Amino acid sequence: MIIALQSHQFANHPDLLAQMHRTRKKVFHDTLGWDVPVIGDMEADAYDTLDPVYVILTDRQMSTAYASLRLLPTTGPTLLHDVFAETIPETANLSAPGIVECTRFCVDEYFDRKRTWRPDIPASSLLLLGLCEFGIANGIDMVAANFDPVMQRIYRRSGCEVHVHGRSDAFGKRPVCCGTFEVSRRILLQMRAHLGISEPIWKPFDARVPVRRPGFAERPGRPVTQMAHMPLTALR
Amino acid sequence: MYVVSGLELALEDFGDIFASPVRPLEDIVVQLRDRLGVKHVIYHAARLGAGPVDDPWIRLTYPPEWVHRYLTHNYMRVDPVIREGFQRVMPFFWWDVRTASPQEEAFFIDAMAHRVGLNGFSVPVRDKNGRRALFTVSSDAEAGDFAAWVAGHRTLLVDLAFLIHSMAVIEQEGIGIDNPPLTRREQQVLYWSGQGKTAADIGLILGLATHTVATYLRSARFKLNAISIAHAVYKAMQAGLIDSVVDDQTEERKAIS
Repeated sequence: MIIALQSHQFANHPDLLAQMHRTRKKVFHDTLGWDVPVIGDMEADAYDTLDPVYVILTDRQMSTAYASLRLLPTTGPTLLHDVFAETIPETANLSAPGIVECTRFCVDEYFDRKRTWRPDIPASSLLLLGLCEFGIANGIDMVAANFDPVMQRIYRRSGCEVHVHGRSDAFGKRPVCCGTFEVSRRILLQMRAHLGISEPIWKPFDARVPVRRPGFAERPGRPVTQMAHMPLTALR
Repeated sequence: MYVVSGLELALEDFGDIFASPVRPLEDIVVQLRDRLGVKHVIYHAARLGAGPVDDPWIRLTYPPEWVHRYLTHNYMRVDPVIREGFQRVMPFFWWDVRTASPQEEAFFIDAMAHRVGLNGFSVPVRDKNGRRALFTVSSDAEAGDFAAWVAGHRTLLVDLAFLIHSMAVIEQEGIGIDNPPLTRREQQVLYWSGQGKTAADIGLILGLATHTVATYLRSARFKLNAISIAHAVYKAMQAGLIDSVVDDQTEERKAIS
């Protein structure tokens, strides 16, 4: 299951977020050798203070964070703009309400795949598919991202279409690429076909605290904005 | 029962509202309310570097009695739409907002009694200088009808939120937002749009997916605060931003001629 947490929900999920920051330290600091701020066994930078969205691959109980990424709107301050505006402006200078930046995409490489509901599919692919579903439901058309070059193969295998705009060797042991992914219904169907998934995997609402407001308008049965959660056949 | 407008509206339909000479935002929110056919329009900006309730800058169409009550009851510190809205990134409905205390519950019931609208949809705004704002439309339409109307006008409402914000920044501070410069791709797609090419044509010329071209056009239009691609091309030409692209593209133009 994929969940997307925004700042007003962070207090409900302290364990998931702590696990995410620990995995980020292991991946970006320990493994990739990126120059990222580390506090104890966690990695967190200034952009984590800007109320981002975290998209997390978790189990049904929401107790373990297997993989995660961070989204910020490109209309506001972004890491890519601050870090890559000179070297890779094509990605870094994109700015519009339908474009989000994705940074800190990482998978906890020690987790036991059998514990997800689809052990046959890599965690990174599930996370990308969840990102696509979340994006479509929230009016996102494009994701601008930085990533390790080896990730490109994973992206393609998941049915994503990546446009790489450039790479830089200035940030650690390995080069960093910047590029964009299209988010659209076409890509969603392509990803589902590649991965052999027909059901939505992003869980749109925070089920821990149900919304109930006496006397106030109830949420409609099936909001029209949630096209991504309809079965595959309904999209055709 | 108040029903939202059945017309499909596009950003171009609002061109006159944003045309110069620019009118004050207090007039524009009223115009927007009437054109959109919603019950109320609210723009709420936080001061740069401050929280949403510390001396905010607000323009709205609420009745004066409710504004007075809101201020005298210090509701700004209770209102959960404000508390959550300035933390959220993605647009949301009022029914998604969780009331965290009996005070917040009582506030919502009081707001209902003062006819602010049965349902609302809010667009969080963040700009490159770190300013934050919240643009909200409310309606008395039934939840399902309102959700359907918002789904059909979502992009429009988001675009309006950011255009209103850019005008509010100028009205408040006298200068605009520091948007990043156009990228080379954005200059190229604007140039070819000015030559009458469709997104699909431009995709073929530049070797990009049509969707990618459309997104670059959207980014270019957004940075130029333009209400249409034609408007963006005009603004970019006036600023001399797409002249140099012609030289870069000699090769590409030869290839297709």
